[in-house]
Amino acid sequence: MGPAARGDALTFISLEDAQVPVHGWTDLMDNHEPPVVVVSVHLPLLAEALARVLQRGLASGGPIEPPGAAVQVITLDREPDRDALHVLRLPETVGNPAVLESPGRSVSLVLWTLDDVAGLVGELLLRR
Amino acid sequence: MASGTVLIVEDHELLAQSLGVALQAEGLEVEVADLRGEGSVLEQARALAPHTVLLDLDLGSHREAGEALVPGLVGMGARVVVVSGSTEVLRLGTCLELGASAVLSKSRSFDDVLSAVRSAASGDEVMTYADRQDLLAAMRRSRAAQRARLEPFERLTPREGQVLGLLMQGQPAEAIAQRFVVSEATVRTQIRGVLTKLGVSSQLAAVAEAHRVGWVPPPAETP
Repeated sequence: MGPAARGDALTFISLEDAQVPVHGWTDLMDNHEPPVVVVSVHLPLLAEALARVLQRGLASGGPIEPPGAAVQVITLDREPDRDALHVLRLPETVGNPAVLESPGRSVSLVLWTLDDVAGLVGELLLRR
Repeated sequence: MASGTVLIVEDHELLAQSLGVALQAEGLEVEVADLRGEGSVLEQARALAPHTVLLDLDLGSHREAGEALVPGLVGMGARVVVVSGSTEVLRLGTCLELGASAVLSKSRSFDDVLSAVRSAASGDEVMTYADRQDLLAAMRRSRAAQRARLEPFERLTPREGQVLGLLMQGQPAEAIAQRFVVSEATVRTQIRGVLTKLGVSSQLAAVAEAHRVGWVPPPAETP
C-alpha cells in the first residue's frame, strides 16, 4: 500500500491481515500495570521523544490528563506487552499507513502529525 | 545556558514535532523548519537566527542533502548538530569538515540529543576530540578506497567513457556506432579498450563494475 495523499489524516482503511515485522519491545517505564496503548516505532530517538510527549500529555491533540504509564512507546526490536489493549504500529515513512491492533480487529490509518497520533491515543484512553 | 532558538531541520514530521515538543518541555526555545513550504531552510534559519540547528541529512527528494546546508548555517553563526540515520562515514565526516559541531545517530537517546543541544548552546564541545578524529580518519580511508576503485576508470579516454556510459544504458555497439557516426568495428575496438583498462572480460562485467564503484559517465555528446 503506497503513501496516502496529504489531507487524508486519520483515513481508516480496512485491513484483513496486518503483516508488520516486529522483533521485540523496549519498556520505557518502570511499570507493573499493563499499558492501555503501546505505540511501536522504528527509531529509538523517536520512541523516546514520543514517549515523553505522550506520557506527559504535552501534545495539543492529546489527553488533558497526562496518561503516564498507560501509554508506552517501544521500538520495533521489542514485542509489545501482550496485555496491552491497543497496539499502534507507526510506519517508518510518514504518509504510509499505520496499523492499529485492538481487541478483535486491526485497522490501518494514516497519521500525519504528532497531533494526529496524540489525538488517537487520547481517544483510545477515553474508550477504555 | 545561552538563550536563543534551536531549529530542527528534519523531514520526518513526527520525529521533528516530537523532538521539538520534548525539547521545549526541557525549557528550550524550539522551532521546526517547514520543509513542505516554498521557503528555503537557509531563509528560515536566517529569520530565526538559531544558536543550534539539529540537522537531518536526508530531507526528502525535493530538498538538497543536509550536508549542503552546513556551510550556510555555520556561516550565520549557528552550531550545527547533525542527527542522522545515515551510517555513511563519508557523508558524516564531510559534515564535520564543513563545520558541523557534531554528528549523532538517530539511534542515540533523547538525553544524548538534549545534552548535545545544551553543550552547543553553551559553546562547549559537543563531540569529543577523539570521536571527531576517529570519524574524520574513517572518512579519509573511505575517500582513499573510493579513489582506488575509480582509478581504472580515470584511465579511459573521453570516448571510451562515453561508450561505457551508453553500454550502461543498455545500448548495443551498433546503436553506439550510429550515434557517433563511426563504424561498429571502431566501437568494438573502443569497448576492448574499456575492458582492458578495467581488467574485466565482458561488457556486462564492465557495466557491473561501473555501477559497483559508483562511476558516473561523461555526457555522451553526438559528434
